[in-house]
Amino acid sequence: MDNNGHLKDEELVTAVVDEKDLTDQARAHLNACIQCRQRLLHLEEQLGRIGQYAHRHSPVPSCRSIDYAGTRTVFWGRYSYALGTAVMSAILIIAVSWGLSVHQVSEQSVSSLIQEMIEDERFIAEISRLEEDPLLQGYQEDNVKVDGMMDEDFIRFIIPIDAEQTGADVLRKRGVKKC
Amino acid sequence: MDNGRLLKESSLVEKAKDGDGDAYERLIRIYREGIYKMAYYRLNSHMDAEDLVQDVFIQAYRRLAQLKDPSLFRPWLYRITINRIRDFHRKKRFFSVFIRTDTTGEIDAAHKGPDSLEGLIGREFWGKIDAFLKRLSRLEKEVFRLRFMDHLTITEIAVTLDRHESTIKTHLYRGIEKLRSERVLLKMLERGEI
Repeated sequence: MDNNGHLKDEELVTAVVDEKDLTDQARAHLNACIQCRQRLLHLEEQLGRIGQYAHRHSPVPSCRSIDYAGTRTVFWGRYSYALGTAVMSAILIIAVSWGLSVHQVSEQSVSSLIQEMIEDERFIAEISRLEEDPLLQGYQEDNVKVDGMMDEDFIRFIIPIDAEQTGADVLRKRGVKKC
Repeated sequence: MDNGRLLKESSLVEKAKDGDGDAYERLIRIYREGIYKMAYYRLNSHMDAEDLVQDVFIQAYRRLAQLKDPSLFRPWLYRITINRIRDFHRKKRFFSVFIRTDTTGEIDAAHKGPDSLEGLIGREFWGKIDAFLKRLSRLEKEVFRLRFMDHLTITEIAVTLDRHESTIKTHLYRGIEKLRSERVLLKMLERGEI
């Protein structure tokens, strides 16, 4: 209730929604007070006019028969073209994306093949180099230092070619007499 | 709705459930306009509303066996309508991805208003109402429409939207409160300019 003892606007709205939701005191006042009853009536009329005007300013339905026993649904019937387009678009998108992925895979496989060929060539070149010179770089340096001493005879002396040819035989060939 | 009418409609529903086509035809005649208007208020298109009415009655006939209480036929039918309207909007949104549609172009001439005086007044009314409804939340808007445009009771709205009555009352209260701040619309309604 407001200062004048009448219903507040919020209470009027509550009464519009459901009068039973008002307090006993407010309901008793509403039943007794003509002024508050008129305010309520005025608000209800305003709200009621919304429905009246909406009804007035909208067309009337046609008398077209309803085939309620039929199975066809109107929406799909009307939008079958759109549905067909949607399905076709989806198929097209899937096909294109699949085609692109296949294309990408084939491009990848070609590039990896080229890479493998390059690596193979490099590997073969390394094998060839090792066949000609099997020592690693570090050993080659040591080898260079002792190269002067490493003549064929010295090698044969160290590593005899066959079992009969010993170090003594080699010395004899060179004219060195055994003491 | 008075008890005599409710009993008569309940009896028609029972007969329709037993396969009486004439009874269902009579139910269609009773509710056709209400369902059409309900659809029109939400779709703003005469053609879409007509199609939706067809869909609603076809679907209701198929599901009639599921309706336990024949006295709840009206809110049950409105519930189907609400769901079909939601489906309609959803499908339209989906198809708009593939087909560019001018939604404003689809709004019915009666809703936009023809060039007659009556049409201009109608356009003014729908413009104001649409602007007001945009201020409401989704549920407030639906409750407000069902109460004041479709003339359903609180109980029927609760059944239609599958919500508790207290929830419906709360949202209706908020909707009316917001309307009270719409001075121009209220003045139009008060003066009977529409």
